[in-house]
Amino acid sequence: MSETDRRTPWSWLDEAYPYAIDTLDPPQRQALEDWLEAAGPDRVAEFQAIVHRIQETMADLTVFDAVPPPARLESALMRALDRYDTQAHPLGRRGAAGRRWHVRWLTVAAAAIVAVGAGVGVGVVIERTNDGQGAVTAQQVLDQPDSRESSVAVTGGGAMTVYESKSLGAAAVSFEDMPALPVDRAYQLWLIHAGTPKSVAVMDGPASVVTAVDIADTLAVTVEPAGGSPGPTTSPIVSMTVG
Amino acid sequence: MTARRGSAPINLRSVTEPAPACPTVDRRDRAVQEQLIELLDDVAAGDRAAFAEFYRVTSPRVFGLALRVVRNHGAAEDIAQEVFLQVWSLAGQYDPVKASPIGWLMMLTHRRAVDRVRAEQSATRRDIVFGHAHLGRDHDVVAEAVGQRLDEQSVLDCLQTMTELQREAVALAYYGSRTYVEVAETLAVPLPTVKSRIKDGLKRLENCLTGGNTR
Repeated sequence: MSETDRRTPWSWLDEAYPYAIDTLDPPQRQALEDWLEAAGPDRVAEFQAIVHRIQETMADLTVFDAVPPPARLESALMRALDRYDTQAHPLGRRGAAGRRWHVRWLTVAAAAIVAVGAGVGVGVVIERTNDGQGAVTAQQVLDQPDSRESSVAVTGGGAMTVYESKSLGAAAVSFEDMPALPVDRAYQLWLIHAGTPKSVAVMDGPASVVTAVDIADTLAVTVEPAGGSPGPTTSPIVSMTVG
Repeated sequence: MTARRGSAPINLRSVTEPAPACPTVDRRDRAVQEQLIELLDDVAAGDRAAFAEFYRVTSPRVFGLALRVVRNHGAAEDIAQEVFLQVWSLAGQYDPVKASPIGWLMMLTHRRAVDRVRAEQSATRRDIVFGHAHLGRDHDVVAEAVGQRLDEQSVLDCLQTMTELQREAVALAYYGSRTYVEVAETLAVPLPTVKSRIKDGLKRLENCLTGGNTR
């Protein structure tokens, strides 16, 4: 048959095809995302529908590419997950909510997770919220009507700020302006429940963490060897009792 | 209307006129899709066991696609690890209405792999693997891969609804990590031609795989 290199009229919607298969270079991608952001939710939805259809199409094709990974990958991944779960995640009051929703899908591959809830080594189960989000996020804690904020200075410099919601049974903890530690040291956040400290997070930089808390629990930070310790080995440089 | 299929079996690869195949949805695999959606739901709640199970079921798809794009085992392992860490952190954002679990996973994997190749290799360097950038299977025996919605023959048949030039452009873009401009340079054709080939090719492929239910 003859080749069909016909020049069909090109519309903005056609950009969904190269976008879906990552064929736009980063500046083009950014320009398109900016344009869509300005174009409004209807156009975003129309565009997104094509992107998803093409991504399903390509996923069907990649069935031929399947190759089992080496067994070591699973154990490496689980170790990485342990580190990930105890690492800090950026926290900050978000900008206008209206700006965020479609940014989320457009940049989902690069999105930073805001907070960790369940699975951070805290022996308290956080109830799942009914909006499909499994973990309580910092934003949810901040947005609760009963959210309370308190700050306390850290010995050596900086401050720990705790946003706490009794209704969620959760606290979002952030640290500001704390001095950088030598590479072989890290800050470690502990939750002391009924006198027993449990590690919440090991932090080697500016950090924020969400954790489940009970009334009268104490949040405390110590300086520990890089990677953290099973239990605190030094005196806390800051502590705060919640509830 | 789509073209009617003849009663005699047709080997689509030997016919010159593209005819839409009728994709067969694998019922057993639909159960796998539902299982993956449930697992992601549990992963969003921080369930490590569900995450491990999700990994075991889907890692050949992730590792395989990463390997195909980066063509390096170590880099493919890195990418797979990064993708699964993303799964752990982003599972709460996964929306089954918008994407199948495998569609979502392949999107994450492809983006990572392409970004990595572009960061590390010039387009000239990528020319070396030009010959590898084709669609379809490399060999006759494909290990049974989970998460597929269609049987393999349907997918192979649908590939034939694209023209050779469309397949070439899509393969260079998708597996060759090329931008539009680089595909145009590689094939020495004008940019609008490349754009049309990719768009029209993807449309045909999608149309065939969905049984012509969409535009």
